[in-house]
Amino acid sequence: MIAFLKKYRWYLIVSVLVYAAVSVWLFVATDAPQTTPFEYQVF
Amino acid sequence: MGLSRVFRGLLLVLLPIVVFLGLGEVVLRLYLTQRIFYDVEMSRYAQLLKIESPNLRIGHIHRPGSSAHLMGVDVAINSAGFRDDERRVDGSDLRRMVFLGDSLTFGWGVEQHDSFAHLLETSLDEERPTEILNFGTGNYNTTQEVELFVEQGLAYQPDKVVVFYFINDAEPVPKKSRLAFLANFRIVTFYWSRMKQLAARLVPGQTFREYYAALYDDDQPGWLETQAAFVRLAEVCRDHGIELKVVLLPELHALDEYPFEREYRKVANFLRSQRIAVLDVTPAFADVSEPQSLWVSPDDAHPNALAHRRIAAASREFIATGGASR
Repeated sequence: MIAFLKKYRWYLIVSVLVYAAVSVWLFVATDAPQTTPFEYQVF
Repeated sequence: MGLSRVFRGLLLVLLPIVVFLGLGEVVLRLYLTQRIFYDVEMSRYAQLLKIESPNLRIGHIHRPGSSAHLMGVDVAINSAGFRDDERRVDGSDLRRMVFLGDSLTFGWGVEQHDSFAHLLETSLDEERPTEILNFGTGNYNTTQEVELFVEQGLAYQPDKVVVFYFINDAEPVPKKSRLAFLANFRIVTFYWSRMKQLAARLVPGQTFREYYAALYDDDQPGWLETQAAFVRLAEVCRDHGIELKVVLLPELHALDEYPFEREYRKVANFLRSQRIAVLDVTPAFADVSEPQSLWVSPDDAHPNALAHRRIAAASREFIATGGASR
């Protein structure tokens, strides 16, 4: 497992960074006044 | 060898996702100590204060005696399962009313003493000793409200029942999701909610205007259930000598040119055809040029304390008049 992580560490790091960047973009892009119907998590 | 290659491929796909979700959960929870998100708070409301009802037509009820800090305010549920003071079930000499409704009547996002139910109780009590029992429960539609009243409200022997109706009350009764456990993860709630918001901008028919308007097509099951629920409530009230009134509450996105005039006219016409008194308080908001000034927060269009005061003022006389007195 350690060898696997060492071998692919940059792939894993870049993947996590890409997910993080997408999340930040999603947060900024949707951080606006409510435009959707009330949505409830019932349970 | 083949299996090992497949396993390695899966690991390469899943590992960054798991690491990202774990880190994202931690970062989001830290951020949430500084900022309130409506969707996350609604999810917490469901987790902390709601339980399943044995009555499938009610769906969910409040956990009696529970409490939480939600949307920046303290919420306490009494022993009967309502966001209200403790009330005696047996006879009362006071004029007694039951308010039925959803999260707006519940007072989502405002202190209990700022809710229109409390304001109306205080105001009406000055005129004549009055007790208002607030049965408002988040996510209820009319069918659930009527079921709850029949199951619990009749025992209180009220003189009057007032239904506070909102545009989304014609939605079908919600069902528990099999993926409910995912609500434990804030990052999942965040992604689910934000993706829906994004879709609302990109996919036609996803905005609140289109969604709410479509609920009132003649063949919509939710609207048909709503009408049946009102007919049943009217019968129950007639049988028990209880006066029934309905107040239509405004949707707070556009108030000077209200987008749901047609839908509310349809609701009002139906209620009048059933000889149910109805008041639409939307016109009392027509002078509001900046609707967001009445919102709980920018991402939550529930009425804030200012809006609750307007609702109370606009509906007071309608609620106070008529009816038998004790």
